[in-house]
This record gives sequence, C-alpha cells and structure tokens, in this order.
Amino acid sequence: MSEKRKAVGEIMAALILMLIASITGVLLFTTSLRTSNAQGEILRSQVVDESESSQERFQVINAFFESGSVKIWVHNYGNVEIEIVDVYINGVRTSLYQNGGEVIQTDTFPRKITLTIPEGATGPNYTITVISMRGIKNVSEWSN
Amino acid sequence: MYQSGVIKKRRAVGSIIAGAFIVLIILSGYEFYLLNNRTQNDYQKVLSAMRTEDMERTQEDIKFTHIVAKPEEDTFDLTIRNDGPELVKVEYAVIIQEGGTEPEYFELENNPPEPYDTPNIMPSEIITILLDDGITDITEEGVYTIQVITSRGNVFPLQYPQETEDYPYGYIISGAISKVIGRVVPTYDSFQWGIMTKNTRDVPAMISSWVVQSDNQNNYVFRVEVQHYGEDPLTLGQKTGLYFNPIYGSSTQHQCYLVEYREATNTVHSYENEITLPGFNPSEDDEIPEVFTLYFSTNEEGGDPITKNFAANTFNSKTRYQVILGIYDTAEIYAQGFSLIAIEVD
Repeated sequence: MSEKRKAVGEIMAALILMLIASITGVLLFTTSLRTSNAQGEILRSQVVDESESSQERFQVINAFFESGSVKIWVHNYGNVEIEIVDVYINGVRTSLYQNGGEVIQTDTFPRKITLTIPEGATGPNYTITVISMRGIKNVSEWSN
Repeated sequence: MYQSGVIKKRRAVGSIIAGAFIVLIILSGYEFYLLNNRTQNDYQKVLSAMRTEDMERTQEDIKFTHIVAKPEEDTFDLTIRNDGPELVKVEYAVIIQEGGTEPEYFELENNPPEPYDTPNIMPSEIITILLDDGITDITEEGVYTIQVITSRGNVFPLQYPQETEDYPYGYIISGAISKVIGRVVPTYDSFQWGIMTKNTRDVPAMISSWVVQSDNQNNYVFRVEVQHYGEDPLTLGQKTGLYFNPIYGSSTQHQCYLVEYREATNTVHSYENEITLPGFNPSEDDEIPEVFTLYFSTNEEGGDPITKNFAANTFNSKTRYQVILGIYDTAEIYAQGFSLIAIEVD
C-alpha cells in the first residue's frame, strides 16, 4: 500500500514538474518570440523608412524675391510624397512650418511656397535649405 | 521494475516537449530570417532602382536648337532636341523675365505640344513647343530665362537673347545672330560612307557606320545630312568638306570636298552647280528646317570625283580619325565647323 502511494506521489511529482517545465518553456518561448517580433518590426520599419528616404528627390527650381519675402518652387520628382517641415534662409529658420509641414505629392506641379525672409537673413545672396520629414535636405543658392 | 518504467515514460514525454520547443524555436528563427531577408531584398531593389534612375538623370541632355520670341503675339517658339540616350519626358517649361513678375509655368504633361500626344522626346528627336498661354508681356528689349524641366528633375536653362555669339553647339539664338553666321547643323546619326568603284560615278549602297573599311584602290564617298537654321539662304562654297584628322599615329590628314549629287542617275560630279541651303523662317509653316543631304568625294575643291578622286589620299592606315564638317560660303569665309564623331578605319 505504502509502495503504491509512493508510486502515485512520484507520478504526481513528475506531472507537476512537467507542467512547470512546460509553462516556463511556453512563457519563455512566447516572450522571446514577442521580443524578436518587436525587434523585427522595428528593423523592418527602419528599413521601410530608409527605403522611402532613398526614394525622395526634390529641389527648389526657382526663387523669386520681393520686398521682405521670397517665393520658392519645390519640385518633387522622386517616387514618394514628401512633407516639407522646415525651411532655412541663410541658416535662419523660417516660421512657416512651426505648426506642421506641407505635403507635396510626387509628379505634381512644382509647389509654390511663400516665405518671409527672417531678420538677420537678408542679403543679396541667399542659401535656401529645405528639409523634409524624413530628414532629406535640399540646399540651393540664389541671389536677389 | 515499475519505478524504472515511470522514469522512462517521463523521459520520453520530456524529450517530446523539448523537441517540440526546439522545432518551434527553429521555425521562429527561420521565419525571422526570411522576413528580414525579404525586407532587405526589397530595400536593395529600391536602392538599385533609384541608382538606375539617378544614372538616367545624369544622362539626360536637352539642347535648345531654336528659340524665337514673338512680342506681337506674346509667344515663344521653343525647339528642343534630345541629345541623350534616354527617352525624356518634358513636364514643364518656365519663362522668367529678368526684373519682371514671378516665373510663369507651363504644364506640358497634360497639354503636350501639338501634334504630339505626349511630351516624351525620343533620343535624337526634335520637338517644337509653343508657349502661348498666359505669358503676360514679351518685349523686344526683354531678357528672359527659359527653363525646361523634365520628369527626372533636370532643369535645362537658356537665356534669351544670348549676349554673345560664342554660344555652345546647337544653340540658335535669335534671328539676328543666325542671320549673321548662317547656321548649319549636321544630323550626327546620318553619317554614311561607301566605296565607289574606280573611274565610275555611281554612288554605291551607303553604310551607316563609324567604322570605315580601308581601301586604297577605289574612291570613297561620304554622306551627311544637315539642317540650316539661318534666316537667309546659304550657298555652300567649294571648300565645304569633311576633314579627317588622325587622333594618334603618324597618319596624314585627309580632306574630302563637296561634290554634286544627281538623284536621277545616282551619280556624283564636280561641284559646279551651286548648292544653296534655303533660309529657315519658323514664322512660316515649317517647324524645323528642311533636311539636306551633302555628298563628299574628291580631294580637290570643286574637283571631279573621277579625275580628282579621293583614292590618292585614301585611308591606308588603320587608325582613328576625328571627323570635322567644315562649312564655307562662296566667299570662302570660314563659317563654322563641327566635330563629328571619330571614325575607326578597319
């Protein structure tokens, strides 16, 4: 009788051990799977971002200066839409996009953007730097 | 016996669980590898495509061959040629008046210049664009910059009128300048050559190639098509010819002068009847000048291809020559020269 009880106890112990091992294994596996999936997702999203960045092509094709302001025409000739988030004139940031950027679709008419020339940026020669959301910048030189 | 049976069973189940975990881990890792590999491959494909597009962009080459401002109509006639190896889509044209209002843009993609369906220009093709919509004011004294913008993002500018006559090849700027110099433009891909049987005038089947077969027994004949953009007719002088300068080696320079081609008999003769290229006036119906074919096959100005043939100075050296088309008028004033492509004598 005592031997039989002993045997049942061992079976129970073995079952409990297997249960613990299985649950621990499943938890470890799902955690590592979730972590690697998250890492993979981050990597893929970075690659997608990089891929889109590499397809961005835009430039300022014309600049027309008036008193205190300048109109620029930005041509997006890349394969993805761009969002202009910042424009610098002679290194001084303009205030145009402080409340959000401006999206320019690809294969559309060059976008006319009117900028107020900031104080400290006036001069006969201008360096206009246009920066997109993806961090691509276009630098062009103009003279008034 | 009973105890060892339990242990064996436990081991078996434990091995199955461990094996299942190992399989799951391997599958997960493989899936992770596949996904990342696919992502990387897609990225590489994008990079490769963009590199190709960038390369095509650098190969784009648009030349302005003719531009005429018509102040009375406030229009520009713009004739451009695709000198690059790629098809070019001209998306926009821009007119900027110096000291004037802001640039005026003309969208060509949705309004292609007549009679074209699209603003696409094939390599070597010439199209004329009439910019006539919305130009505020064109004056005789006005200085303008004309820009042509392509779908690949290239901007080809041209100032009108040109301040100097020392303009690059292919630029025909304003009636005044073309009237002074008389402008002849060769069609580069029209260069052809043939070998005439000695003491005959019959023009053989011509070969379109920049590789010329060496032959010191017979006569050569060359053919080049030209267009004349000058407003006044231009009569070609007897000095008009092809000049072959050896690029390397000790070969001598060769000249091959203009001869008269008679279509009815398909023969060439000494240059006695003057060859006159008519003036080009784009205000009339012709959008591009008429194409003229010139033949060259004598080593003496105005000489006869039989008595003064080209065989005496034939290409007996297998080398490479620079080919220059020299255009002279009847007063033998050197008008202009064009360096054609180099030929290889094989």
